[in-house]
Amino acid sequence: MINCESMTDRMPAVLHGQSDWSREEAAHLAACADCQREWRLLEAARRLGESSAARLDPAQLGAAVLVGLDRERRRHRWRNAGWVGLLAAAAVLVVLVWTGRSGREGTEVVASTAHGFHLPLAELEGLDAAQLESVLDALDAPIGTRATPEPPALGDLEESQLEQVLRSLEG
Amino acid sequence: MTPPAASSSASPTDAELVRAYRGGDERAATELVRRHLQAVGRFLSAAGAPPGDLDDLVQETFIRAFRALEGWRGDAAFRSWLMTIASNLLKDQYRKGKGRTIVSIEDNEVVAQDDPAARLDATEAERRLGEGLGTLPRLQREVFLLRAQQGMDYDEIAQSLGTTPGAARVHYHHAVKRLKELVL
Repeated sequence: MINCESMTDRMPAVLHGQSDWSREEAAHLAACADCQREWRLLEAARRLGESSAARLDPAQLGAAVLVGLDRERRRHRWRNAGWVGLLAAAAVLVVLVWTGRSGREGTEVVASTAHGFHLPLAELEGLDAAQLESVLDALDAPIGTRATPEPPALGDLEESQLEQVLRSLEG
Repeated sequence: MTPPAASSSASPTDAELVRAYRGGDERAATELVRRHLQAVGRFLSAAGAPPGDLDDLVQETFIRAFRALEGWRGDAAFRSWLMTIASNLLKDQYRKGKGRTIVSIEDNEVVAQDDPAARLDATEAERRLGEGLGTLPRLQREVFLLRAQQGMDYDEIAQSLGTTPGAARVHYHHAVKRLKELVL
């Protein structure tokens, strides 16, 4: 069934050579003033912008497009390089901060370790030669083989030794 | 430089040229510009691009297209895809007022081609049609141009303008009705 609406849908394809009018369509177009006006409208639309577009030079525009793409690529590379530089600077900063902190922590560890090995020499001063010898033997013996020394009973100590122990406890 | 895209036919398809360009062949890009330049120029001009800006807008359309080639899936015609970009470009231009800096044609030191005969070729009907198009809503105007001027079917138009084929058909019928009243 040929009507004006179906003609509207078909006109662009015929105008652009993608299709031909059927006999019925051609007859409708010949008889319908409204469809003829529409056909003229489409013919004008097809030509519209042709004069402006005809000014465009393919070689010139093709070259300009390539130049534009090249500029974009370079700008993109610079932007990427900027980011890489920024990241590298940030990484250096992090490393510097990290090494600075761990350096300070190391000093504290050394200091506390040295403090831990401080020997209360005053307490050893009260021991006689035999007792010092046994302490040295205990320290020299390999770990695990040391005999656990029996803490001396206070009753075994002489009076002068008890005095020394008391003084060392009281500071 | 090797010829763009190996093809059994004398003239490589758009898809073959796109592949060649992706492979580093700049001549393929030049050929795609040459092939679709007039269609893009006519569409932009009829859709309301100022004559003085046409060169730059056409150039920008192709730059955007080549920059975003990864986004072209190849299921739509390359020309339809260009029209999508041209339409979006016009929309951006009107929304922002002024776009980003465009490489000036004059930078390439090529003298602009001047064709007074072609410029004066516009008929009275074309002039009135141009004015009539300016009164249509953007989507109606672009659907009409893609159909009447470019010969695209409703599926292609829908894909280009981000609408449905049914909606494109309705826009087209509205546009034709209004233009017949305004122009003829």
